[in-house]
Amino acid sequence: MKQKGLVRGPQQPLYFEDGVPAEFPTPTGKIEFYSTQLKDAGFDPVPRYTRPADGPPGTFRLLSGRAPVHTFSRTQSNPVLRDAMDENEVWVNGDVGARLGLHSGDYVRLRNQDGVVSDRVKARVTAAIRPDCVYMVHGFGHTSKGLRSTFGKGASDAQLMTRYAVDPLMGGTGINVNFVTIEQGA
Amino acid sequence: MARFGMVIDTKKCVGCMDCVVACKTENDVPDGHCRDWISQRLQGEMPDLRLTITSERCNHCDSPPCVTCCPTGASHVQDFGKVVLVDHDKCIGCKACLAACPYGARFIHPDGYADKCTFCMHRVERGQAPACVDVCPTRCMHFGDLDDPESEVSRLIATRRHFVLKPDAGTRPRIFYLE
Repeated sequence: MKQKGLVRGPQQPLYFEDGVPAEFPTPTGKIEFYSTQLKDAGFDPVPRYTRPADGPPGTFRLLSGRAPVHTFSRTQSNPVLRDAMDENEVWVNGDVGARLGLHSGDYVRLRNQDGVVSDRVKARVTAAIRPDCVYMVHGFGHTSKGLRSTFGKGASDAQLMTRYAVDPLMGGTGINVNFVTIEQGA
Repeated sequence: MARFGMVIDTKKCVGCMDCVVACKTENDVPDGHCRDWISQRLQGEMPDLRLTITSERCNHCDSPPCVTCCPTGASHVQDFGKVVLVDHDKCIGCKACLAACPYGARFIHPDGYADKCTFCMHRVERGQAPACVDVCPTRCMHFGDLDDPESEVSRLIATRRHFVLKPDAGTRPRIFYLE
């Protein structure tokens, strides 16, 4: 130990051992595409697509995602990363933008179904999104004035997520279940 | 004699801007400026969309308008690697090269001279790849000698479909994008 500084124990196989047939903790011992366990528990044995509920007419489903530049909401005031991306934008479908008279670079606010209004955020009118959805990158809209370089830049998606859905099968949280309207002239 | 160029695989690039951050850090690029940047081009209509992401910088053209227009000889083609560089001491900051460059690759450094990508010559002279190439998480960027038919860049250009930016500008750029 003193000489080498490092002693390696025997390496345990992480999941499966080489040469040994793999076994899974299922009734058949195999990967099950048709799960009798799920069927016994009262679920579809083969997962089936369930169309999510539509929002109120005239609203847009709020989608949220990440930019590769920033990590969660932690890096927005890093000078180099801020130079690369200093605020988020809300993506609006091109036809919707034309109907509303909205152009890329216009500032808007989003109001969700529970009356929560976002900070001002730049619109990005693009063909890259469906007409019934809007999208924004997570991590902006900081509320701390102490974060001088990023305070007041962009809007927070989390603020608008006053509702969430729970997957009845595995308990996952669905956050793209909020609906917003676009308030222009922000 | 080497003639350095770059090959960038647009199929692998995700536009993460790691190349931009690496360049700014490596070359101490002042705030608000950059020597390389990401462009995105969206084609088609929903749901048949095609997004092409390009990591762009000085193309180190074989026929560089920034060099021919320079009144002081600051903009020049270096013998080693035929790389286009700016001699900071000779540059008077007249911006003729900024106007001449069809790629918008140059900016005026706060210290008063025209600045741009050097293909990280200080690293290449040490046998390293340019900083942007080195950090790319998807390994979509390749750097090497275009005159050597056995080099990785030459083989990629010979075997893959590719394009260059603004070929009609007649500058014969040396950054090739694989599609």
